[in-house]
Amino acid sequence: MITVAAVGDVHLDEEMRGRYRERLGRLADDADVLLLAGDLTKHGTVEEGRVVAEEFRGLPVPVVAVLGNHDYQSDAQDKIAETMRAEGITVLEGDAVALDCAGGRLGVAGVKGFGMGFSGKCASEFGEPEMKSFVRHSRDAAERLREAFKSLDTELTVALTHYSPVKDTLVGEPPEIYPFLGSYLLAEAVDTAGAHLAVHGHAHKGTECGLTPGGVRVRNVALPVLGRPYGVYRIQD
Amino acid sequence: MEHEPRTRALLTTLKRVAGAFKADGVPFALSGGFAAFARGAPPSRHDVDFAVLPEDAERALEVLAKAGLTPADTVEDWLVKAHDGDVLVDLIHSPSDLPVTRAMLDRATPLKVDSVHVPVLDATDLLVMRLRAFTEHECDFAGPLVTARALREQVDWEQVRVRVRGSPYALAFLVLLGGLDVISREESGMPHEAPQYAAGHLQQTLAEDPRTAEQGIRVRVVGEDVYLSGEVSCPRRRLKVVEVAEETMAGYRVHDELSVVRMDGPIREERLP
Ligand SMILES: [Fe+2]
Ligand SMILES: [Fe+2]
Repeated sequence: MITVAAVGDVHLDEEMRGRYRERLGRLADDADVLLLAGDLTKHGTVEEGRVVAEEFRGLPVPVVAVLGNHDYQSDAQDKIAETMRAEGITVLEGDAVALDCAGGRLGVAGVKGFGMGFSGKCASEFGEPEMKSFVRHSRDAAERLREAFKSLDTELTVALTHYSPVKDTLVGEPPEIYPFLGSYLLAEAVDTAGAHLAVHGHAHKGTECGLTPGGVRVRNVALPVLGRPYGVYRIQD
Repeated sequence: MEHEPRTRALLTTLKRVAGAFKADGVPFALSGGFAAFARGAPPSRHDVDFAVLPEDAERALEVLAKAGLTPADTVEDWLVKAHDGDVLVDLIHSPSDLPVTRAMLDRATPLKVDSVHVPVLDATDLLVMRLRAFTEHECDFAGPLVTARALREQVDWEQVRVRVRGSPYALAFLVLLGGLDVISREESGMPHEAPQYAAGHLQQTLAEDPRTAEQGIRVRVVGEDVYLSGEVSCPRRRLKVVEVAEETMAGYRVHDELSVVRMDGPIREERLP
């Protein structure tokens, strides 16, 4: 049995420095690991990346993150990831990490993911090059999540993405923008891997709880959705 | 210039009052129909209006009594009245709940009215006063339309639009002026863009402007009002969103119905089967 704390869309900047960290005092009692589901910054600047790294460094539990679209806004995503890694935070992008927790080993497969839409109402690789590259980026992200899972041999696995694998957790957002909020290919990867939980962010106005077609629990942990510092999920095999 | 007898009588009173105020040093400006007349509109046939400071209203009435006019009782609290024979003189000090100010009287320009110089309310002030006076029971546009046509070159319509904002009647009048090409569409406050497009553009601006970078702001545009709702990540961001919206939507009223993301909820553990 392993307990996972997760939050996304903290959107930190200089002004928020210390404001989030002060909520993390009980983290060690609450969870074995903290997952960060992307959109950790507001504009994806190196400076904001430093705030994120300092906000989440030296915590009593391992911290595993993916980046979100905001973290790409200033083309500094690599630098942000590097800054976070230097502070001991694991940043995933199409790879996975296995963590030794008190209750067993936990595998986390992470990717930012992308939009594209959901079964029956989604974009396809057709037409203009911009459209093709949009869809290709999404396919590629899902493929990398699949591969990431394959590299894991842990009993318990969690998928960590920024974009949503399902529509369930988008309820509250205007349906017209669902194709920009996630992709069903992510859910397919999660189901294929038989993950125990999938957490994501990005949909600020969405809903916390959902389910993949294969029955895997999905949790939208965007901070505005949670209204609390992080969600805590206990999973067992 | 030859005037019909009624106008002659009104002008005689006008000059008598102006002379008395000048002699006693009461700050004043010609207002109402004769101010419009002094600025080029056809002559008024009703009464003679002056603007005075609220604190001077009683003194002004005494000065008129001394000059031979008869103060009249009024129930209204925004003007005082006096009779000069059968001509009624209104001394307006707080039209539509907006007291006459010294700045307003200072803006008045001395103009020749029937061979004497009288300070006349600034054309913009005059229009603002006239338009703000519309009520449910007093919203005949015919007279003000004549005034607006005659004074249109002298009026800062942009300023009029801002200063009459609270009055739907005044805004309707400005739309009418726009429709009649008395003033331009911009001046009339008719939005340049259809509101649904304005809302779309603002929403994109709020996402793209580095000061805000907020993706989830809902924008609704209703008439001259812009409503912003949704959650932002911190109180300062909220101010920034309003700032960018006000910049982007100049001439609209921006309503802040935003909220700041909360993260102080109690932590609870969910056990997944
Ligand atoms: Fe976000
Ligand atoms: Fe996002």
